[in-house]
Amino acid sequence: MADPYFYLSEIADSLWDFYQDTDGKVSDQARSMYDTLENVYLEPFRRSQVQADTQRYAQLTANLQADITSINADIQRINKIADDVQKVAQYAAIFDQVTAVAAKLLL
Amino acid sequence: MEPAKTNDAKYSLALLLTAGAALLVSISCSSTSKMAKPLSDFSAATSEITTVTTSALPMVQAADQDEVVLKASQGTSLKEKDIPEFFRPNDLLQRQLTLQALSTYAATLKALSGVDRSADIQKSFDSLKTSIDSTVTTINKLNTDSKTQLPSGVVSGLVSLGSSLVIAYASAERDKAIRTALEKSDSTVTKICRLLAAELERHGVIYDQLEYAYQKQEESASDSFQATVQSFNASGDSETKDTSKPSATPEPNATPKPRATPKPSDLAPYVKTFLGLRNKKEYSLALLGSLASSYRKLAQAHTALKLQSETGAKSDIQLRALSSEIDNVKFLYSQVSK
Repeated sequence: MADPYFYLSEIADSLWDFYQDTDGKVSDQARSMYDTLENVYLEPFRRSQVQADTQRYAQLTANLQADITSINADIQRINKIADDVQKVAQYAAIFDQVTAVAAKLLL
Repeated sequence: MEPAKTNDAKYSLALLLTAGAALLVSISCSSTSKMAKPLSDFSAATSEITTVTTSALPMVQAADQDEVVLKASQGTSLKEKDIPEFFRPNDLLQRQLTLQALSTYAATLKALSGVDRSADIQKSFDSLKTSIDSTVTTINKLNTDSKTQLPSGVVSGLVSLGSSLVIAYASAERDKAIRTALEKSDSTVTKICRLLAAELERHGVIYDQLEYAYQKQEESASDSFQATVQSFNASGDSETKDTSKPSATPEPNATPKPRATPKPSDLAPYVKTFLGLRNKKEYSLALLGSLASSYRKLAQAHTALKLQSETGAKSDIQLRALSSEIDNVKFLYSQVSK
């Protein structure tokens, strides 16, 4: 789809180049047209477009933050596997001590 | 069953379990993720791009404000509407938050790929083995009626197998989590990168606004230069007129006074300002263009990483292209911040 902003920007660029490459009345005319195009159409469009994009950034950031939270939960879950094994080892050590005490009582 | 044969069977079982554990370690328990290195590179690249972009956005705002000051200085009133801002506080804040989230996301992925508790798991299982061996010894010392002693070799083999299985399970869970995260976030990361690139590339709103801000300042410097030249010309003309005052008819052989020409030192400041503005404009625009290209390559690298986690296809080419673009960004940023 044709983008009017793109084509108007191309025209503005050409007018600026014309203003830079010529002198006298022609140069002044090119500059005047460039200023009009920028002040009336292009700059106001850019300002409103930046504000519209801001809403999209807010939405996308919220989505990415949710993904980060999910990854952090995964990190915790995977770390918990090692923690659980450590607990089993600790319980086994306690069980061993209990067995040793019980054995001493029996023998 | 005879006791000797039973012991042989137990010994064989213990050997089988230990061999199984060793095999598991060698084929599936690679504790370091294959994604660790590429995700580390991706995280470093993301951090560098977002840091430079975070610094570049206030630079755009500053150039825009300089242009607004010039424009407002030519007006006849000074009201809020006469000095519109390109980035309102929320516009800048949301972009900074997005960049921060992008960097945090890459760092969190790197952290996930670096989750390696295999040493801790192994240590816990070693401790477990010691405890079970000790318990078995204690039980064997007891005078029970059982003719079969509890075999410590089988216990050791089982514990080794358990250790390998748990390490393999943790590694598999980590790789699955990486795959899920890359798949789930790919769309969002691509959209963010495309949006940033669209704003920062030529004919993007931020790029064009920065170009316009510098061009207006160049116009102003050019106008000041011309005004100085014309003021000298005007003073030269008036002096010529003044000399014709005493006599209404000038002498035919009188040579007219030459026009006053400005000295180089009168005009040099304007030329310096113009040159400084032009250089800053060229480097700043090149930086924005390079950042836009970096974001496009960042999105491509993320998609390549997603495919690598799914199919094992390499993402080296995309990551190298990204790294190369970042070198350009670094050079241009060093020139802009001079």
